[in-house]
Amino acid sequence: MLKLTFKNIWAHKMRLVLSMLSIFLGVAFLSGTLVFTSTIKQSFNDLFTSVYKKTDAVVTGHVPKASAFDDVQKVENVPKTLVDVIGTLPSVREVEGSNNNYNEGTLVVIDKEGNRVFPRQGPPTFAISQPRSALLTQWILVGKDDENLSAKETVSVNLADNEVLVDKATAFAHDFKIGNTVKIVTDTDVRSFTVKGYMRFGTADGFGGTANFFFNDKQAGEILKQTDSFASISVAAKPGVTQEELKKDIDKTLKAGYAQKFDVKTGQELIEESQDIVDTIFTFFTWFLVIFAGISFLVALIIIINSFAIIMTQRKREYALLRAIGATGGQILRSVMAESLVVGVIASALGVAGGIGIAAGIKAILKATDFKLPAGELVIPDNAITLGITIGTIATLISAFFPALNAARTSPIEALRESAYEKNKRMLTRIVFSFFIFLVSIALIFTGYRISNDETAMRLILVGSGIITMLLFVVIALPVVIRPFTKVVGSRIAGVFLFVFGGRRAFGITGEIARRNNYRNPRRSAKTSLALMIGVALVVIISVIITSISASFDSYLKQTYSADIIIGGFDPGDTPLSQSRCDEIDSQLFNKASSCLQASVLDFYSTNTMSEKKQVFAVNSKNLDKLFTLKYEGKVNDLGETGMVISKDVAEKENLKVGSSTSLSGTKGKQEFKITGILEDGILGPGGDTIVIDSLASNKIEAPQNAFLSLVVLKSGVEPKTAKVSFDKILKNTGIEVNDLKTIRQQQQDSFNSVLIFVYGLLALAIIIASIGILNTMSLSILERRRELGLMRAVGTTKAQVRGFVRFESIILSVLGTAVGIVFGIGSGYILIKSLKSEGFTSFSVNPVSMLVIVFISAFIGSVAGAWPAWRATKVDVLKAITVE
Amino acid sequence: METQEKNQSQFAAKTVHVTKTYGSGEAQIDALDDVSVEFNAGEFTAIMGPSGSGKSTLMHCIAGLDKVNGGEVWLGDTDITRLSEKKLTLIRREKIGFIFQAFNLLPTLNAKENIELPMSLSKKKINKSWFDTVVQTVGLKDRLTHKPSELSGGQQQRVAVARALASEPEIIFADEPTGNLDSKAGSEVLKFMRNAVNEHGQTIVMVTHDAYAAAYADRIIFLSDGKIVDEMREPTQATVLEKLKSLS
Repeated sequence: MLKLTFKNIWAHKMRLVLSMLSIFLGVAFLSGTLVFTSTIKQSFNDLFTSVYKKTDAVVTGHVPKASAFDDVQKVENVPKTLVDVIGTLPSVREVEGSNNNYNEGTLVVIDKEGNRVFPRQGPPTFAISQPRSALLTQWILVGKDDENLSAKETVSVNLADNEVLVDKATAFAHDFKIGNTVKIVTDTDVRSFTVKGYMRFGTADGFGGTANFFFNDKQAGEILKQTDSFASISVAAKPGVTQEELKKDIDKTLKAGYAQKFDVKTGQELIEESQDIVDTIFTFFTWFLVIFAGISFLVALIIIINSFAIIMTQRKREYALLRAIGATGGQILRSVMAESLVVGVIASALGVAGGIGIAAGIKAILKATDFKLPAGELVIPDNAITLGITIGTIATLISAFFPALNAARTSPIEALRESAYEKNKRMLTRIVFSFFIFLVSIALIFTGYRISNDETAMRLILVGSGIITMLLFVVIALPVVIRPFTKVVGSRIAGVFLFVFGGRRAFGITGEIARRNNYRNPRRSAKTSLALMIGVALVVIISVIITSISASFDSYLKQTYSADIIIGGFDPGDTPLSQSRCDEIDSQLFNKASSCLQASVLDFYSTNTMSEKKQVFAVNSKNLDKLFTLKYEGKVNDLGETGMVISKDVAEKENLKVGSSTSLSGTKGKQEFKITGILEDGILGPGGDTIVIDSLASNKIEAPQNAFLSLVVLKSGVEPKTAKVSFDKILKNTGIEVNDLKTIRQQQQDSFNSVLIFVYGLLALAIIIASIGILNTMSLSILERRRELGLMRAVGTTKAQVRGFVRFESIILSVLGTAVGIVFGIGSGYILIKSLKSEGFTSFSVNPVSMLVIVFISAFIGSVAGAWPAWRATKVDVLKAITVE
Repeated sequence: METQEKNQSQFAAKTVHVTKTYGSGEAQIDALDDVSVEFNAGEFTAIMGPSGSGKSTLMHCIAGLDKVNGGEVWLGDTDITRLSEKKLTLIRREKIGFIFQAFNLLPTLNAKENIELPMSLSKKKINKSWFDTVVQTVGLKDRLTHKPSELSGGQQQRVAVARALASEPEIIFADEPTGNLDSKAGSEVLKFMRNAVNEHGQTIVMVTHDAYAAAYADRIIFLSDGKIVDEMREPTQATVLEKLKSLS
């Protein structure tokens, strides 16, 4: 029997390649995902390890452990005097303070026209004080002939006040070559620097895509507003002193001498910390891809079942003969299973190899493009191999089992009889059962909806299982709708597609034969379109979610801002807008109302003694209700020095009402405020804690902050364009963007659209796998209908007509899969979006163009996938088909 | 011109020195060895011979289902050995009717659709009165909407006869049309074929090894080892059996 198994494998090479292909793709995707994420993860880990390679300890301001009471964390700087204190410790070999903006904000660099060189959304731009200790830095100056200079030479370069060093990758990407000018925007002015040289990070030209500018201590302090402090202090230990001992030493000294709390971490701790962060990010990313791989496996599974069904059909007579001469059903079953084991192992092994290849390819592409990653070897985790081969093989065995069982159970006589007409089993049980599943799914979804807003995770789990149950419903119910669908939609819509793709066979008798062939085995047709359906549904769900996020953001913009002009960014810590610039913006004569928005982190007193850090917005509150779209009780304008407006969330949490009192304290003092108004929502969007006071009050308790945003309402009759010109003049050479609301909405729309392109990539993969399924099913049908095809050819059906109706049938299949996939995808997307309403998903939106593109692509694929079976169908030997053996 | 008309009036199909071989070298088999035969228009001809005598091959070659190695095959005034695959298909669709031993019908189409299939394929208008006559003759009027799986073997074969007749072909080829039927259903099918010849001047060529079936023909051609060995007119079952005995 084993010999027969191998002979069989060899005898059906083409079919073998097809069934292997789907396993191969599934495994390749899974292994590729695992290899790629491991490699990237390792690269990042290597990067962070090298950052702290030479550092034994780092001192920063105290970062309190994240607690439920703190909304915002701000890392405080370290006084400069600390460097000398640490330097005197006997365990310390070298110590250096650094000014940098690693923790918050970004350096604003502008070009000649005054536009930002590095976009707001991109990787951060860092300003760093020139490293002075060769012991403590990985940054190396690049010498004349592109050689790395020695660490000593690096640190011995003296930068003048108007000189800057740039990382080499940034310098070459943005033309900051030696001698060129770099314009830096500070809170008060624009400073020009001449590029003195390039820096390298270890062996890499750049640092993970960021832009890095190095200034002398004076300039770095001024630009970063760290003239009296350092962002961090790095320490190297004397030989023989461990990192832990060093940490203990520093800790003891600082605790004894300072009231301010500091964090002292060893190099090892920092490496582990950053690796944890990398792990968290990549766990999410890996899971997302693994889920997608899982779905492609599911699709592959369906296809392999069909592949084996084809093989079984081809060998029906062979098995019948074997049965007739005394082979048991068990022997046949075992033979087929052995065959599938061989196929599964080989295809999975190839898949793993392919996956590693894909990962290597992507890495090479990323390396070639701007995505600067530290050089690293390809990391192949064990599970990429074991999981790939195990899952691939098991999937193959499972899929082979049912067709094999079928083959083993076929009685010899039945197998020798030659008829391709399948009697349809009664659908009633199926309808009843699927209806039941449908009810379960609806119940799950509605139970999910009733769960309160606070338990988003629980709600998502329920709604998610509801959607998966709904998928099960579709899987079971699909065969029932094959017939009506083919009849009603198949004739007209698919006809149009066929016309588009060059066929003319949708009408007349050939079209009718294609339609009827399509529903003569509804379960098989359903299985075939299912593969495509799942792929399309997945892509549609992702596309719907992206479009809805975009629409939600759009409606948020519309509903949040009443202002005509928006100046600056949307996140605190973005482009700085100084007090003088705010004043100038406010003084424009065409303004009807205007205000800058400052954010500061202050202590908010819930009771007299207990306080927590909260973000507080300071505004010119004269016309607050005109700048934002607000729903509120009490009053929100003219807050004066003691008025405060809070959002409903804060009011409920802190048990505050209009008229209650509370206190805020900042660096300049503590003051009592009276709640004058309670907002339905936050000022910058729905949900969240919002606290607003007037800048008059803010200036009393906290040093003036830079505003991150300014809103302007124009007097009636003033064109936003005209106003923009004036504002641009005020903000010349600052890199601060002046936008009217419309432009912002357009910009964000565009950025979401670019994400959709990624989704089409996923679609391509899903469709390729699904089209193999269509190809397989059509080949199977043609094998089974050899006699019919022969008869049709004999009575005068031309080859073109045969090709036409075979292709038409596969188009009906793919259009069915796509249509159900789109309906299911839009439906699930809708259900998901509605369940996330409390998370800011306020709008549901579908991009009709995307949907149309998806339908056309899959119809095209259907037509392409049908081409080979169609060609095969014309090769049917008429004489053999009609002769009775 | 004159000769062509003369030809048409004389025969519906003919072969001229047709040879057909399978395999090559030592294993070469001559299925047809220099066969020249004419089938007269309006006549019911039976081809008989033992298994392997080449009778089915001869029919397949005349019907354009199989290629010959040498000689000419004329259908009316067309030498079909010179035609492309596509033209041959169109000839089969428009000028030839087929009745096979089994599996004559498409399972997805009902009786009426099966009968109309060749005309539907060529988008030819169906001659309604002729269609009715044919359906009436074969007695299928109340079975037209049935699927083949809902018809008996005899009824299925009658649908096949109706299909062959409905497109008004120049010639009908029948390959053991009664081979799978019991004797009652078989003789019914044979009667319909006979009627078509008598009443409508239809030309029919039938391959059979059954003397009873062959007795319905006007003329019998006997084949043995790929050669025509004898011919008989106005046969009866008894004379045919006699002849077969003498041949073997």
